[in-house]
Amino acid sequence: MGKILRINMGSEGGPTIVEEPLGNYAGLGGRGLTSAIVSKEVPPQCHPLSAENKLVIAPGLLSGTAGAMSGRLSVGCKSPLTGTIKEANSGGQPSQVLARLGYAAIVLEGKPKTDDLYKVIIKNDGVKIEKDNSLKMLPNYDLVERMKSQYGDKIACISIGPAGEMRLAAASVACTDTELRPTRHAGRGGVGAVMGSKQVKVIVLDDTGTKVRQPKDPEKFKDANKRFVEGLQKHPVTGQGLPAYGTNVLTNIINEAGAYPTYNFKQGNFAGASKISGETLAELEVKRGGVATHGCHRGCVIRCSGIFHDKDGKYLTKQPEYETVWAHGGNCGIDDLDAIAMIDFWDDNYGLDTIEMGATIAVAMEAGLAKFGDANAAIQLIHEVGKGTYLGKILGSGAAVTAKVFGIERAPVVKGQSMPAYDPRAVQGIGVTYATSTMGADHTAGYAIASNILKIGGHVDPLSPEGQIELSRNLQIATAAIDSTGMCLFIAFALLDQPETFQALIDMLNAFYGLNLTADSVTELGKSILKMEREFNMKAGFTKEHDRLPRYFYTEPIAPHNVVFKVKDEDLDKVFNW
Amino acid sequence: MIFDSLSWQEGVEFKVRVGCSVRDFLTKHLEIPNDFIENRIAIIFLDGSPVDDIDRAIIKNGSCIAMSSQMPGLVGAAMTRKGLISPLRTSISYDVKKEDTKEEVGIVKVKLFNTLIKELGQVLQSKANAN
Repeated sequence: MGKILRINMGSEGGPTIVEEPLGNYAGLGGRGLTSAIVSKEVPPQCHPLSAENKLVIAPGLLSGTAGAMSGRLSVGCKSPLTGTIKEANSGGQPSQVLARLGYAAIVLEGKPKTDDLYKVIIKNDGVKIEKDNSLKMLPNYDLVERMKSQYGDKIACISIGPAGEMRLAAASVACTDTELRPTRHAGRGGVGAVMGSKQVKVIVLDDTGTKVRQPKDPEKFKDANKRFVEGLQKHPVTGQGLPAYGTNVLTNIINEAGAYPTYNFKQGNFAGASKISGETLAELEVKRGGVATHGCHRGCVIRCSGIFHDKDGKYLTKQPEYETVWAHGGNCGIDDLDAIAMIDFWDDNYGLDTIEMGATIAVAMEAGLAKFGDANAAIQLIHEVGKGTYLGKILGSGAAVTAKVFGIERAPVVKGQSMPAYDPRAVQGIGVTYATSTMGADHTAGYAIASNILKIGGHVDPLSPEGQIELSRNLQIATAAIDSTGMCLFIAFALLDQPETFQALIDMLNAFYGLNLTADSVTELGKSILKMEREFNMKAGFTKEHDRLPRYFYTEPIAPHNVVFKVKDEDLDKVFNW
Repeated sequence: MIFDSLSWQEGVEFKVRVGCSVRDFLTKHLEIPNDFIENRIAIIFLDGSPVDDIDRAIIKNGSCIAMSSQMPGLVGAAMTRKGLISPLRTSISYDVKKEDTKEEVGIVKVKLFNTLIKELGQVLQSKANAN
């Protein structure tokens, strides 16, 4: 995995392909590499859909190895949704396959001078890029079927749907799963629109003839991986809760806490929560012959995904994630799992971020375009986006734009990106991360939790404002580092409670690369990534005034706890003081 | 009456003596062993607020107690009793006040979530029916 594949889509006479060594980017992977390339090579003030922006697709440092959980793919660029630097993250097969093909990153540069659409085919014996206008406006499922018929079923695909081709700011980049379905998405920030602006419809990856990446010290790597897997399997979250119910296990808990944003963040409880919970979803999946425990990529031992069948027992979509069920469920007042699953399928098929679209539809409902709870209307609004009607293009531009167009004050966004499924008034600590993340409102920006890194109790009182700030800071640092490894963030829970599992992860990195990393090295890596991202954003025009929640979160109490967001601006400004 | 998964998620009512601590309610009325409480019930809500100190939180007539095993996600993990990152949700944490601890017979709603439905549902079923 020592080379970068650069494809200049704007070259005279058609796209050109160059392979080059990692050079100054050596030692970086995943988010570390995408953010390094974007921050060094993309002019911060460029238009995100211009030829100057670059789309960087990078597997993690341990992707393509025999290491468990190492199949996350990072997709980076300047975001058309937020205007900030962006890293969106996806599971699925492409990360493992791309790494085994030897690529640390694919960089799509420039912009074609015609309106032709291209596909890129990467095999062990070389790279081809071909014009294929027959793919125009194909939804992701149809596109992948077409690729399968042309290149066989041993491939993995990275693609965009019609939303990406239309360069909508809520467009995702799809990755195929183990069944070769386009169900995994780098969803956030409109990365699909940037791929669309490069006019690349699909990247087909075939690693036939390649081998698993070999560590420098195979015995130590094998031992560390074994300890890592044992740690994940014995932990109640990664060994029991997530495999049994998926991430949607959170619905009941967040709802009970009064932190479940409902009816476009108007209240913190949803009466229909139990009807769409992870427990109910898993039961329904099994009853209909689907699967409640399933991995999104080979090498996953947590297996928090599943397969959802419709009422006739036929495949409809993968098990919708918690964020999706919330966004299209409680936030829109919808308590019908079949309808939510249907919307999830169409989000995937058109290539849309489920969080952004759920938040947008809730804003549209508040604007009177549909009634809260009207599932059929919600589905029709998604089709408006897929068809590219004028209304659809407004909705596909996200919650902030939709709120502006329809004159709605309550737009739950930071830096233009919709908040996820946790109300920051009820859980103030997550509000700190929403406000200050380099990516806009993002629950995964401060997700990784490892007591070694957090040093909880060692510095300041966690109950004080300073403690909340320090907690968010350390969470963001740890997350940036883990996002670079290719590891799924769900490993974080075992790392928090079991220092030996965190050590096993560091041992895997050391054994694979022949390094001597420590917990402090991981912290330094996280800090360096955040520093690059912050500098890019500052040059793009972002100031501390952008690190705030929308004003109504400070003034409108949310039931049932009737609390507002109380963290002071001057405290938010301290998050990146280290 | 048989309580299924949905019933436990939405809450099953118990007629019990109230005015006791959450721990006493769990161990004495529901007869859940202390080691199970410590090792398996990671999250406890009392009337919608996550509880850290189950010895000082008081069950009243009309209370709702909800229980869960350990949860994923930053916010899920923050709900853990006395967890490392529970300070993230201080604004909604159960606030132990000087409660009226009057003992009386009352109704308490019990919710079980996730793995606890299987682990406790059947045991509590008979106690609920015996009301």
